[in-house]
Amino acid sequence: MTDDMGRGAAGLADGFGEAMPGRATAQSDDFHRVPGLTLRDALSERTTRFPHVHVVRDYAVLRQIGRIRHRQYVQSQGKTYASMVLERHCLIEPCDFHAVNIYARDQRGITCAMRIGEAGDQEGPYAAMIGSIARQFDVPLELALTCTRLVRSPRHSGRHAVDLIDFVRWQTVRAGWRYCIMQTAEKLVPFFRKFEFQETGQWSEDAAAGRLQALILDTRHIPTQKRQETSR
Amino acid sequence: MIDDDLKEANGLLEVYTCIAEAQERFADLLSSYLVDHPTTVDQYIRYLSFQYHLTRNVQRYFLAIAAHADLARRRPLREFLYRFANEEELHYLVAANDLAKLGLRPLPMPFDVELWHHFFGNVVADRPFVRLGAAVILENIADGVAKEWVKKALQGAFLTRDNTKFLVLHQHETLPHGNQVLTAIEEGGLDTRHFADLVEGARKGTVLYLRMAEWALRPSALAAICDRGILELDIAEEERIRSFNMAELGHPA
Repeated sequence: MTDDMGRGAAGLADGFGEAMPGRATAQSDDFHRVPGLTLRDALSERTTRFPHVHVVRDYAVLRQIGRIRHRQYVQSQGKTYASMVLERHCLIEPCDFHAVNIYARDQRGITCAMRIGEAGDQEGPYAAMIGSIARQFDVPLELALTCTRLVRSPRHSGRHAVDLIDFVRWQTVRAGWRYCIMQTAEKLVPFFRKFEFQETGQWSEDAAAGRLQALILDTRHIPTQKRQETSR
Repeated sequence: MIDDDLKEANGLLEVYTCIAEAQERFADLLSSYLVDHPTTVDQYIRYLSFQYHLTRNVQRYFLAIAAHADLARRRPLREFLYRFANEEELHYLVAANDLAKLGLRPLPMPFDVELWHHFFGNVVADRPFVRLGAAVILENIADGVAKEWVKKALQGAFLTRDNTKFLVLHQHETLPHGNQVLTAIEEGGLDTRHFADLVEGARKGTVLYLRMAEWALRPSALAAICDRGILELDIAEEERIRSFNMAELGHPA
């Protein structure tokens, strides 16, 4: 099953413009997580590739993202996600404080945002499902991430969502992570397939979000996709 | 001599009355929210943020009090203040490190903390006991009748060992600064005018602290209209916060 995920995977990376000392820099079976390096550290590592992508470090920014989430998920899509903060129309959840939120911005503010967590985080909202999928598809949890709450500002086209996904891959694969496990609604499966996510055929019924399929990305430790494969 | 003792006893009594009143008001404030709701993470973020700004550079106040000529013949109190300054100096980093464990930097300084520093910063050199009176409140307000509500406020699923170091440190049992300050004052041989300043500082400190607490508890409180977006921290300060270790405090936490 793991081999199936490899179908369509990109070839060799198009170069590692920015060195991350101590990290593997080529496709190999010897890749490993850098000891002591947290997911936040990996995502916060300076890069010139994605100057408009940032890690959330301030509550004011998280609040803005929470408002975009609420508008997108609760108001527009009618999903009954519960927020943990006092502010109305702002969706912030417990795992926002042990995962890492990232966002893209332009001159007018936040355009897109996404939350990245470690697949092995037992406090994560979908820990049981992710653990089950990982076991079933032989994905080592310590090398896997999850991506949740991908949102875009209503004023924005959403093209920065692509940059967020590319950014996560670039930053985390170079730090030793390899896989991403996520769940998405059926209509978004084609979107994520463009990023080499593979369908698992494992569907679940989420109380708030409805029917979701688990997808897995195996980067094979290659931090970028072949450009010709990404006709977005 | 008996008159002096009586005056001192009266002065102390008034300080204790200020503490009890502050605790009662703090309990009222906390209970007005907590009776119906648990603490939320945004309240906790606001609490740690105002504590970061309130306690940053706190040693300057205590060393300024210690430097006043009125302490020239009250050296045990001066020595206490010197030790106290050392003990308190790094507590702002504990608050900031707790926030860092939530993935966040402190919020910008709330307006009421600005007021605190403007007022006490201007008064401390000439009337140091006004600032010491405020310290008496800060170190004791969470005790007495407020204690049960403070304990209730400190319950939340988002609270972990890693992000509650500031709270644990300031539990009365862990660091009995409230009692220590009062003992130092009691043994300080202070005059009536000193007690008058202590009471003034205790009352003004109570007003400002309760306004900060309300700002944390109710993000829609009046003071929040002055909130600004993001705190600018230089790289060195961010690294100080990130790498902070409780062992730096130099006493068991």
